[in-house]
Amino acid sequence: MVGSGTALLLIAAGWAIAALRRRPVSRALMGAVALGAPLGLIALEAGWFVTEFGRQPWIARGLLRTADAVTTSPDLDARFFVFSLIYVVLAATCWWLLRRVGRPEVTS
Amino acid sequence: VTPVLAAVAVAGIAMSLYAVLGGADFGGGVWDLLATGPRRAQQRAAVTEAIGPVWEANHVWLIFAIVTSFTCFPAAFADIAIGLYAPLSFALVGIVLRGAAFVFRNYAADAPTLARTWTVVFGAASLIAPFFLGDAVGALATGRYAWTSPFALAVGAFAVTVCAQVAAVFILRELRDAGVCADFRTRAIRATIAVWIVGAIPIALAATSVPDVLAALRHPVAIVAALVALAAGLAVMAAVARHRDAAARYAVGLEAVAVLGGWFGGQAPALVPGRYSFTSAAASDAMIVAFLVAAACGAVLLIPSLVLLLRVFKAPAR
Repeated sequence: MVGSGTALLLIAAGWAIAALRRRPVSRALMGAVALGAPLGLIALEAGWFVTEFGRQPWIARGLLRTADAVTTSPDLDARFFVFSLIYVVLAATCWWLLRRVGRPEVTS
Repeated sequence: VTPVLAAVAVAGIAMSLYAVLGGADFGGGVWDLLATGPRRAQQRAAVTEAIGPVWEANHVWLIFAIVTSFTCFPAAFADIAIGLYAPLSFALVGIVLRGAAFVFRNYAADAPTLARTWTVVFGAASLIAPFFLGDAVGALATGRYAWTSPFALAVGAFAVTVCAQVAAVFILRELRDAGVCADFRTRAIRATIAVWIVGAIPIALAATSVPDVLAALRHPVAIVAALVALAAGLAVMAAVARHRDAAARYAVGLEAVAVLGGWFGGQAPALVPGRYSFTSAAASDAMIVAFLVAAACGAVLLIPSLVLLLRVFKAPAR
């Protein structure tokens, strides 16, 4: 999370310097911008992981343990697998559709 | 006004708005599934156009109702979430698949097989979600979480019918094509009749087999609400027949809110009959006051945004 944020700051600073000097942006900097594209999302997810895993075994620190907070309703594992399957199907469809949308136009 | 009462009012408003706006949204999907006749493609296109800009905003009210419930009535929320996990999971599957299917089929216009598949998923999910939400309400009213009971299932069917009716009435004002408009006018009237017929079933079942619910239905609030709902239904018929589409919208909204209010008011002060009352399920006053302040701050931002959204996308077509 911190690494991604720092890298994005550096890329932004590099771009600002290039813009202030009115120089054309170098290929290396363009490459860095392209590589930096997913970093924002990675930082977001990583931050989420830190908060979720970092406070274990508590769900509310000092008040309630995760083990005590979990639902007592049955078939929890079945529900987990069904919802996982649904999201896998949705993710696969989304991926397939985005590829189609992003495909260059075929001129006939 | 005690904080608990204010929280009950906020929860009631959120649920009413979800019943009407979310209901119109689900109902749109039902009509998508039931698109028939020579203008079926135009009917589908009209539904897509009507719900496209607003369907995500409509489901804000579900999230708001859920947050209100678990913040202000945590004891009852935990009990309900465990007791009704099955119908609520089914409703959740419906809501998730529905949103995804709606977007997928619109982006798959040039892949007919895929578009057809997700159109079916969209329609089916639009039935499943309101059915199981209605079923959950019926099961809640029994106080035993009996979601497979004929009464609860009948309430589920009633919920689907009301959604279809609300959608058919709401869409009228946005239709440009005279033929499609005539289709939906017929549907709005038929759906209103269907609401009366399907609505009588849970009442009949309550009278014969669910004495606790029958007692709630005999409560003066429930009787007044039922009469208001019936009168509103008649007003819907009259307004739709006379092309008073704006008036029809208010009438159908009033009908849906009256049904919900009759249930809520009939069993008050019980939240889950026999298990929790509003006060026994409530969080501390300090918690509820903090929530109410936060909700008021949020409303300052949310309400103007929603008004703007509806102004931009929901101006009358004619």
